[in-house]
Amino acid sequence: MLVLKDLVARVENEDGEGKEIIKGLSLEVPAGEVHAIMGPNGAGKSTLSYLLTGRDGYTPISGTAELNGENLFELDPEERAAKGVFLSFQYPLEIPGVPVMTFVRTAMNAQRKTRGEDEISAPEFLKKAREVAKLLKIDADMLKRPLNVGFSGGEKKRLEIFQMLMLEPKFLILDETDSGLDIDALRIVSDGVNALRSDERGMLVITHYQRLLDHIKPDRVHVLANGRIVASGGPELALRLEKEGYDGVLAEAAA
Amino acid sequence: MADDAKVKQGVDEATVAAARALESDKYDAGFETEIEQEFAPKGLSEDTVRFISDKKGEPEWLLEWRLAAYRKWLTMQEPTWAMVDYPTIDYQDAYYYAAPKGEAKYESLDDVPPEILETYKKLGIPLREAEVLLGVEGAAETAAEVRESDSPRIAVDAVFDSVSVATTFQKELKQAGVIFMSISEAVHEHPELVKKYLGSVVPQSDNFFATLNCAVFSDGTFVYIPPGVRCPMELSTYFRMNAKGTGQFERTLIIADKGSYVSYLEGCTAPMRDENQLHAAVVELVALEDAEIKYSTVQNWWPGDAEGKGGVYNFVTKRGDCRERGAKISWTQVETGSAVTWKYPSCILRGDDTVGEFYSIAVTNGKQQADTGTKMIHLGKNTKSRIISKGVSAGKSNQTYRGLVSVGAKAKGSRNFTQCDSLLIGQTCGAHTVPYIENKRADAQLEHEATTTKLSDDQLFYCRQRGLGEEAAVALLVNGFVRDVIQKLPMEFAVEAQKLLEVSLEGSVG
Amino acid sequence: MPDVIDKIDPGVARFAEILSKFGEDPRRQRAFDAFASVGIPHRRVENWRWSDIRAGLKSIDGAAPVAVPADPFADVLGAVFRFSDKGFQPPAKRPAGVQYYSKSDAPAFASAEELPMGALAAALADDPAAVVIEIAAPLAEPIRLVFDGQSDRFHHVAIILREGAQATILESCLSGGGFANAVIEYTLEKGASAERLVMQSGGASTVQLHTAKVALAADARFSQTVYATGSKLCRVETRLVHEGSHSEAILNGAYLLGDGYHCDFTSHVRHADEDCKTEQAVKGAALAGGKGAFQGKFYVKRGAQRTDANMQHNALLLEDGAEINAKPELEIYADDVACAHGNTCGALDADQLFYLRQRGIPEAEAKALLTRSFVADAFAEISDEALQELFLDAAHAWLTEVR
Ligand SMILES: Nc1ncnc2c1ncn2[C@@H]1O[C@H](COP(=O)(O)OP(=O)(O)OP(=O)(O)O)[C@@H](O)[C@H]1O
Ligand SMILES: [Mg+2]
Repeated sequence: MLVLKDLVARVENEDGEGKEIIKGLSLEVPAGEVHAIMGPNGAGKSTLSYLLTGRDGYTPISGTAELNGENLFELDPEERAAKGVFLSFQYPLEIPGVPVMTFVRTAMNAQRKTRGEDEISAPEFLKKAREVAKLLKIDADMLKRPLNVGFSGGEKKRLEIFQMLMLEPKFLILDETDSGLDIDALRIVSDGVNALRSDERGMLVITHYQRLLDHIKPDRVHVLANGRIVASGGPELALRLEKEGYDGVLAEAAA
Repeated sequence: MADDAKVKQGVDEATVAAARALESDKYDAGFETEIEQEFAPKGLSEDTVRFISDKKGEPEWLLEWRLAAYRKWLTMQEPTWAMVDYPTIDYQDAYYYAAPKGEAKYESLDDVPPEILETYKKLGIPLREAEVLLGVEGAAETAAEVRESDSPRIAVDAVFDSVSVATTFQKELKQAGVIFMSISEAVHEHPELVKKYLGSVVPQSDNFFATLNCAVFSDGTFVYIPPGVRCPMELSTYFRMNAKGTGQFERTLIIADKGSYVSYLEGCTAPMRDENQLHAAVVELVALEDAEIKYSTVQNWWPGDAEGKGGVYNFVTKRGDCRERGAKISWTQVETGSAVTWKYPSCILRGDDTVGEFYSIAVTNGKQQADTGTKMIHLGKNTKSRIISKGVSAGKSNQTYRGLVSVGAKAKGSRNFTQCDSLLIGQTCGAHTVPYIENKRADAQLEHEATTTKLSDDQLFYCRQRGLGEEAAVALLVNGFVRDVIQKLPMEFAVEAQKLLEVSLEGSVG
Repeated sequence: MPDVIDKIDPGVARFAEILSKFGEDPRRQRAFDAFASVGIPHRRVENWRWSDIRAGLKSIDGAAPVAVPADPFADVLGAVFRFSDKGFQPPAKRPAGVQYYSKSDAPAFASAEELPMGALAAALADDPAAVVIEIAAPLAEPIRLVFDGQSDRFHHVAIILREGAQATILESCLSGGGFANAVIEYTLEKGASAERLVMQSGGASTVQLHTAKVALAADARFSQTVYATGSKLCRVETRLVHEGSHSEAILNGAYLLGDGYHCDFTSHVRHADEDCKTEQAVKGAALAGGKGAFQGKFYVKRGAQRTDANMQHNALLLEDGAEINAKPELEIYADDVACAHGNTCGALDADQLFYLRQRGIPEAEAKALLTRSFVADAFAEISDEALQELFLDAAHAWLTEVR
């Protein structure tokens, strides 16, 4: 499904100064699998997620990124979204003046249009929104407020998952979706994510903690450090990291 | 020298005027030096202009330049748009040239009258290089060594009324290729540079006060940093107005050639006098490709007494031109003095990728009036500017921030950030903010924020609960308020500036 | 003093001629003198640097008028007071709680020096010299003032809200041509409350000056929202004074300017008493060839303690070739205050744009959505939902049609 080969990419700050952050990264996530990415702060995890979704200032230098055989780097962000790439942001943005419902509906219809599908009808959309909100225990009032404006950290994360369940993407990137969630919310959100697990979907779950992986069981775990995947393994790798920290694994990788 | 140790103590305080309060007895710089002086005939006419030019033995082109300015000035009107109020100035009732009697130029420090040396010593300004170097194992001989030694070293050009009396470290700077001398000397020694750059940033007819300066400027500092040179030490000019009834019209011209860097400091004081004194300076900065000029000012001219009697009218034109690609000019000012201030250090961001900065702290107390700010003119592509202005008004003073950020139609991708905060202490002062923002580019990003507040009662209480006296608490909070800008000052300056603020605000609470 | 005496401004002479038809009239004369001492404002007059009336009037001289734009308030209930180039037309039926008088003698126009162009409107208002509308009770329906026409016209209106009165006043400021100059004086007595909603729309060959002078007594509340699409030269000016303590003012608005359109939002708020509050949020957007200006000033008088005043102006240049200028000003003589202003000018936020695109919304649509929500903030204080909708629709229509 998602195939990354020898990716090298740089990040440019506002002043146009570039810095290489992804330094030869290869990774394969077959359809139906969930892969976790762990790694120290500043390793380049969020950078990878922005690179895959096409944020300005995140420029591939070499290597390839393909989703179902299609070169992601040739597509605009919205085209990638329509192909089913969804990023749950580490820091979701606030969009003043645009109510959640308006926003999600606009996004859904735009994606459908790009794919040549019909728009969703208003009643159908409402029905679906109500169901998803109920599942995630989101108050209906919250959906009328401008997107993320004044929402708590946990509420913002929950709203990212709300959008995910509404848009039913094909490939999910969750960037620290667990941070800021309370214990109940963590379970609710994980249930939401698990509901989307299927043979056609792939997922990349970026996290620092095992507790999320208790709920969303990964098929593979990768360690990203200094812009590269330095170790990969089964779920036990995450458990080891939880116990030992990164030092051991990084030392082995370096050896 | 026997008393070197004492002077060395003063090095860190160098060129910063010793800290003074508004109350006359706290203005330590308010003494007068008794020395025989020579004046131009009182009043202003073509003859005055000729007299000054003649005294300085100037070439014909400069005299013509001055005369042209004088004639232009006659047709101009004194500006009235600033929020300052002062009695009409009688331009015929002042002296336009005053110099310590004797040699027009001192060959060495030994020729400088002892009274003047004493004056600078009292102010803590080191004129003897050895004084500055004390504490360093053997004075550094070459520029290379200078760069390595990390003792704070500052070369000083001391301007006493209308003339430069001493310029230190000339030899050493010369080795680095840096030209640092009084502008009168530069006219003779580097006429081609002076001719090329004088008036190229602030044109002769720029404004009333600048034009007046062109006609009668007496002395000032000239700096040229050759391509690729990082000036081995801080350069500074120390201005002292002494003679009674004299205006001071100095002219500073700094040129940083391709890829060079210079940090320049300027300090000012004047004796306490009941009548007002006019100071109308012009400062021109030229930064060529990838060059950087950092210009810091601590202005502590006599502000007049608590009743508003006397004090300096500080009507100054300062402008920097980022003439070529990648140039950067940064203005930092701490303004605590003068009765009336009218001053807008500005940057013309002409080259692509140029950067302009303005960091300002202004403190007014008593009956001071200050109308100050900056202009950032974005002409080139990807030009950036940053303005941080912190104003503190106390007593019966009035203070205005006045600024312009202008983005021209060709200034693709320009950015500005402006933060402009005012603090009022007491109920009888005023704080005003007058920013102009003009934009012709869709891809420009301009942000301006301004706040006006009083010191927070909660914070004051918190400090006092922890045992600070009221004045100390105010000082602490004010220091916090201006912190962003203090940090931009060269280290030695910062400490001094902080002290200056404290003293300036004494008596402002309770 | 400007030297109007030495070189008689031909523009001024043109208006002097109109004045002469009223014969000897000291009140008109005083208002006119206030105008004449400044003359027709132009670029070098500080307060008019971005609204050159002299050039504007010259450029529309002899231009053919176009149809008067449709009135967005047309379907809103309420008595209509119409002020056009054909004179004043009162409502068919006097609404309950409202009195009005047509003045045949010009009333004095106070503070003429501060509003020279308002003074000109007061000096030349004709047929009638002024209309006074008095509101004595809370009104059930809005009152509508419609200003329209295709040729030069001057109007002077005074609206008085007696103690405890409440009203929504809708002003339609429409012009197909000529020089439209109206001045409206709002006086709110103790505890009165007024909501003023203004819709401005004009042709590309008309000059519109729409000036309001507002006086608030203690505990009064004044909430204003303006939507403007500009004209050849258009200035919507509000001069408000908090005369009594605990009064509150909102001065919101949005301007959207296409090619060849200009609009200037100017306001001056004077805090003359303690504990008053002013909130101002102005949004502006311009396309290539559009020119916007914002001049806002808060003046806090000595002793006006605990003033709380906040001014925000945010502008979007939607394309190169647009121009937006701003001067957000504070003049403060009291220490126990919280005054702030903010100004931003530039393009849409890149991070927000990316977020929308990540969710699959195409760039153009994402931009329109963000622009719409950007503008919507300016309408947030409109108390009636249907009226708020009207403003949002108007802006939406502009964004989809003109853009
Ligand atoms: N716009 C930018 N400009 C400059 N540096 C950047 C930029 N974005 C990211 N970086 C740098 O790139 C590196 C990787 O950042 P990234 O956000 O990808 O880390 P991360 O692995 O997600 O860390 P965390 O676990 O803390 O979220 C960091 O050193 C960061 O400072
Ligand atoms: Mg991250």
